[in-house]
Parts: sequence; C-alpha cells; structure tokens
Amino acid sequence: MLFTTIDFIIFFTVVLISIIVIKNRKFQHLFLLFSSYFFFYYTSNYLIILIIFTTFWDFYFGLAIWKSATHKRKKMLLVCSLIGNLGLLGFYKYADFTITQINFFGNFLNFGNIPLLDFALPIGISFYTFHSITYTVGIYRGIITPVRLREYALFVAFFPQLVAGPILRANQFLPQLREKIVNFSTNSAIRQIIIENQNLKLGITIMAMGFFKKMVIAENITILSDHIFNQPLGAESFTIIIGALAFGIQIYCDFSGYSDIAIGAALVLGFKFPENFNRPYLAISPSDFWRRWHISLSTWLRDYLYIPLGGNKRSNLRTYANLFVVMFLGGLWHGASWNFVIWGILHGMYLAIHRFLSNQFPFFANHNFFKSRIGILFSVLVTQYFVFLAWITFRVHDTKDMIYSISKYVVLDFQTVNTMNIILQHKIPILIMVLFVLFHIIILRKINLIEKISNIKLRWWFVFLISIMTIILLLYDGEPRDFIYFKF
Amino acid sequence: MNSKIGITVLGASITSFLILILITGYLNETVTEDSRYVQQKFYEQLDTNQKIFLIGSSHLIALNATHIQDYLKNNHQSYEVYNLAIGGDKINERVKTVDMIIHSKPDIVVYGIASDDFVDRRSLKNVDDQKQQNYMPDPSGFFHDMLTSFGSNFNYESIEHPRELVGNFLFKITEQPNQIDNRQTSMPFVSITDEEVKIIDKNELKPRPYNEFGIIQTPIKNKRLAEFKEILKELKNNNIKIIIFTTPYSRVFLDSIPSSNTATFNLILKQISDEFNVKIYSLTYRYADLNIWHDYQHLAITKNSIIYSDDIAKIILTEIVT
Repeated sequence: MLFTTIDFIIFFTVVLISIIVIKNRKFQHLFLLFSSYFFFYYTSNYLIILIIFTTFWDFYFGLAIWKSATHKRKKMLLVCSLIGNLGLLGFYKYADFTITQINFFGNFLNFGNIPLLDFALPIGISFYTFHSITYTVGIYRGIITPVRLREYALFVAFFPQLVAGPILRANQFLPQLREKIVNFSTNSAIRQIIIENQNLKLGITIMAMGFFKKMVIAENITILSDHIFNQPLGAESFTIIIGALAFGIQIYCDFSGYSDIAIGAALVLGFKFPENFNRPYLAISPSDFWRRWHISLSTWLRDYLYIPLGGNKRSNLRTYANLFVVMFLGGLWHGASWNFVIWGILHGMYLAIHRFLSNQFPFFANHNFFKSRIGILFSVLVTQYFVFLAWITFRVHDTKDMIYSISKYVVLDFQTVNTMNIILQHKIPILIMVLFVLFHIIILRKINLIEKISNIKLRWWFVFLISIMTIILLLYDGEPRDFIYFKF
Repeated sequence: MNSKIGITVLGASITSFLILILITGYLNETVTEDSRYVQQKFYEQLDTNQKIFLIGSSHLIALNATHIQDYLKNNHQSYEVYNLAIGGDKINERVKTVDMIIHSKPDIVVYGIASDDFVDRRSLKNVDDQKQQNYMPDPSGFFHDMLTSFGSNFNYESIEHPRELVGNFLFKITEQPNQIDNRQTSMPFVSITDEEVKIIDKNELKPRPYNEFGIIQTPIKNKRLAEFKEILKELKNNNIKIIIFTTPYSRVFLDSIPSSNTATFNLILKQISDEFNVKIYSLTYRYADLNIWHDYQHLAITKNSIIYSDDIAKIILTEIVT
C-alpha cells in the first residue's frame, strides 16, 4: 500500500480509531499485527507467505540459539538462520540478475541461455530480512532475550516500517511493546497503546512534512530528472549537472519523505523510530555523508558487517578493504543491477580514499582552514560534488548513458543553449529545486523545526496544516508514483 | 487523546480539499476556456472549401498536413488538410469541442487513436500487481472498484490532475508571445519544439516503465470508449466521413506494452468497427523497426518520417475513391 494514496489514509484512520476505541491491550497488539499483514497483503498478495516464513524461521531459530548450551552450537544455529534469510533474499532478488550474467558470459562460449525465473520482487524483502537478522544476532550476542511469537511477528511486520524502513533493530522496537521500556524484561506486561496528544501532534506534523517532501518536491522534480536521464546522450554538461542535482534532491525527498511518514505514523501510535536522515547534503566528508544518509542502513552495515569484518582495528590496508567491501555489498543490497554495484563501489572508494588521505596527511585534516566557515563550505561542496556524481550511476539506464553522463559531469563543455531550453520547459521543478536549496540554508541553524511547529498553538497548527495540505493537493500529480526505495 | 487535535486535522483536511476544488475549478475554467477560445477562433476563420481534419493527440504531430494536401492534389482531389492534433489530447476533452468541428463542416475527419486513449488513468497500479496472476482475494482491486463506482457520480475531472492544471496555468501566464505564434496554419494547436525534430537511434530508445502503463477497462466499463462513440455518432449524424487509424509505436514500446492492454484495445477496435461500419487502419506496427523515432511513442518530425504522412495520404485517397 502506498503511503501517498487515499487507501493508506483510510487504512491508517481505521487503525487509529480502532486502537483508541478498543482499549484491550492484547487486542491492540494482535490488531496491529493483522493490520500490518493486511497492509502488506494489499499490494503484495500471495508474497505475504514469505514474510510469515521469515517470521517463523527466525523466531524458532532465536529460541534455539537462546536455549543452546555451547557457543559452537549457537554459532551453527545462527549461520543456519542467516542462510535461510539471505538465501530467500538472494533467490528472489538476485536470481534473475545472476542468470543474466551467466547467460552473458555463456554466450561467448556458445552455451544455451538459461531462462529467467521472472519472479515478482517481494516488496520490502531487503528491509524485513534485515529487521529479522537483528533479532537472531541480538540473541546470539546476548543483547536481547526471546519474546512471544506475536510480539516478534509484530516487530517484523509493523506496517509503518515494513516496506522501506527505517531498518529497525529488535532491541529498539521490542522493548516498546512492554510496559517497562528501560529494563527490557520479558516478564513485564504488554503495554497498552495510548494515543498521547504530544505524540499525535508531532507525529502528524512529521507525516505532513513527509507527504510534502514526496508529493510536492520529489514527484515534481521527477519530471525533470526523467526528462534528462531517459535520453542523456547528446545532452550538454550543464544539463547533466542539473539532472544530477534534480535526481539527488528527488531521491532524498522521496526516501526521507517515506521515512518521515513512517516515523510519524509510528509515533502517532506511540512507537519511536530512529532518525533515518540528517541533512545529508550538508555533509563535509564521505564518512559524514554516511552518518547522515539512510542512517539505519549505514549503522546496520557498520554493526553487522563492518565491525565483524574487523572494522578499523586491524591494518590500514584491511580498513580500506573493509570499507570498500561493505559499500560494495551496500550497493548490491539496493538492487540486482550494475548501477547499484557501481554506486556502492564509488562510495566505497570515496570512504577508503578519504580515510587514506586523513591517515596520510593529518596536517590537512586538522588544519584550521577546514574549521572555518569557508573551509566547511568548501568541504561541503567537494563532498557533494562526488555524492551527486555517484547519483548519476544510480539513475541512468545503461553503461553507455553512464559513461556519457559522467564524462559530461566531469569535463564541462560550457554549452548552454539546450540547458536554457530545458530550464524554460521545466519552470516548476527548477523553482522547487531552488526553494529546496534555500530551505536547506534556512534550516541550517533551526535544527528542530518540526518539533517547534508541533508545539505551536492549535489554531496556528490548523493554519499550518491547511497550508501544507493545500500545496500538496495543488501540486499533486493525481497518479501516485511508487517510492524509489520500494524496489529495494 | 484530546479530541481537539482530531477535529483540527479533520477540519484542515476538509478546508484544504474545498480550497482545492475552488482553485482547480477556477484554473480549469480559465485554461479550458483559453484552449477552447483558440480552437473556436481557428474554426471560425475557416472558409467553405472542402476540408479534411486530422484529429488526435501528440502521436499525430509528425503528420505533415501540407504534404498530404499536395499528395491528394496530385491525385486530383482538392482538399484543404489541417492537422488538428493537440499534445496530450484526451477523448473526454475532444468530445467537448465536437460541436465546433461539426460547425466548420469538414468533409472528412481522420481520427488517430492509440491504446493509451482508452486507459483509465486512475487504474495505474504497482508493477507487481500486474505481474501476479493468482486466485487469492484482491483487496486493492475491490477497493479500487468501490472508489470508481462511487466516482461515477462525481465529477473528478477538474481535480484529477491538479499539478497539470497549475502547471498549464503558470506556463500560460509566463509564456512568451512568440511561443504562441510559432504555430503553423496547417497545424494550429501545437508548437514544435527543437527536441521533437531529433531522431534517437532505435537501439537507444528507452522503454516506458512497466508501472506507467495504465489499465484499459473492458469495452463495457470503458468510459473513454463511450465518449469516443459519442464523437463518432455526432460526426456520422452530420454526414461527415470518418477514417480511423491506430497510431504508430516503436518496437521498444510495443515490446513493453502489457498483453492484456493489447487484447482489450483490439476488442475496443472491433467494437467500433462493427458498430460504425468503419474500417480501422492499423499503423501500430508499421514503422516499429525504423530509425525515425524521437522517443518510444513519437516519430521525430523530420523528412525521414514523411512516410507516415504518405501512408495517411494513401489511406485518405483510398477512402475518397471508394
């Protein structure tokens, strides 16, 4: 179910009213679980079997790991659990990609083509697989204790985060189902869900901002980025730069808009989700970018991949290799396509090179220039130049387009005739992009703007809601588009 | 929960929806009136000579009316030919101007149609919905049908695509006068941009994303078909000869079009042909593999694509002679 449809508004209203009206705590949790299954089933139909399978698989492996007496047995069970999870993810997401590569190389040796499986990609499989892994690994590491099946099932399927995150961890979510949140205890009673005024107001404000980002900014800018990157060959350098900027803003507003709606919807129901974005386009280095962009994924990769690989505790060379491998896999996690692999490799290179330069030239890293305003601005511009360069690889359709677009982005041709035409043809997207940049500058210091809005008096909040809803409705396409991260 | 917050949200939703209806109503009237005014002005200045109108959407823009006129003249048929294509033309919009067409008394109306003309834009679905063929209950389908049946009693058109309307309005008020005058007499409702004359190599054409194909409702449920029949009926009642053809598509588009859409479109064509006793000429596949495309669904406006005008001219001549 898309968040930006009337279907979701009706669904969410019904869920909210039911939770408010029926105050039985056991009912509330079961109701949320079955609502979440309905939410998933609504668009994914029979593929709901996969999420139910994942739930049972990890729940019972979690129990088995917990009950195991020896470390060796725990490890073996964890490996089995991971094989099941990653096997399912790999099969549905990467089988056709792998077959395509085999066929490609097989053609050189005159082998026959293996037919593609052509399975529909289960929406959100990358997300709920990662959620689920945090549970078994958490039990293995002794961070959490097993919970009841219905609680675990709700953690995996909870509808706000189900299809595109933020990637929740079991130790972040499961304690919220219990009354004693601080001392996570499986003996404490299940919490009654109470809709609190402050959560409701703040949650709705966050949701409104999410809808605004997705429906006004992302969907309007899509027209421009599609226009440029559907046929980039022959485009001027400045056109490619505008396209890269447009896509960078589009994907940020699309994904952070989704995260905002998810965070807001969960908050309305009394659940706190972690922040997923923190003004990533103000990052001053590649590592800073990954502390601000898709935070739940980058921290997941850090804790479940980078650190187990050795992190930065071994040699420098090993650290660079770890960064590279993690980002390569992070790219591949986004989808079965070379675009994402190259995007991941680029970011892996950025991180490794940045780490190398910081290690080799500490004088520059600690220089006062980089602490001054101009130095920070310089760092932001350089970092974003490379970030937006990588977005080109994420967006284009094929290698030819990629090589052409990147070469135009890097080596400027200083032609402007067609670029001016494109700007004139796309006045609204360009205007929205300018406003986006201005908005970024305005919020530079006002960090908790959304919280401030949610704290204003009710009558002014009413005006805020009317204004934002009217803008959304007036600039809405009428045909909801999928969120980009639905594909992942 | 404080009920005041709930009432505030509900009140804000209703108020903003009312504002939307008011603003889009006004903009719709302004933009439509302006478009109708341009059309009316054109139809009024036509003389009483024998005329042929080419009608349809942007798929007809590559048709050279002057070339067709010359071809007919060389075959001893003296007609003035006008390409009255409108970018993004919709059957439900065209039906509103059919009286103007009839009033200017054309002898022949050549209508180019495509499967997209019969798509219900509100039935756009996630790509995976269309891939899954199974026997499990389909709540989204049920919900959609429910909304659609409710919608038949409500005029959605003015609020259907608010962005398009706002965009058109803003474009109109910021449009340079020379952009309006850049139109040819034989193609009065469209300006050709620099982009549309560029040929993109057929191997580099990008397909339309699968999830951008809407679903064509069956002939019984299809509202656009009912409106199309209304147009044909009006033309026929006024003794205007009708020629219908299906517009051409590139191979990359044809390969990606959902097979269910093709099947339903064929059903629609058969029904039109049977009911109005007209032959429907198919150009859908004719140029699919040629290197004359500007994008997956539009021919580039170049001398290479004159073959399209030649074919239409031949069809018209055949129809006149028989």
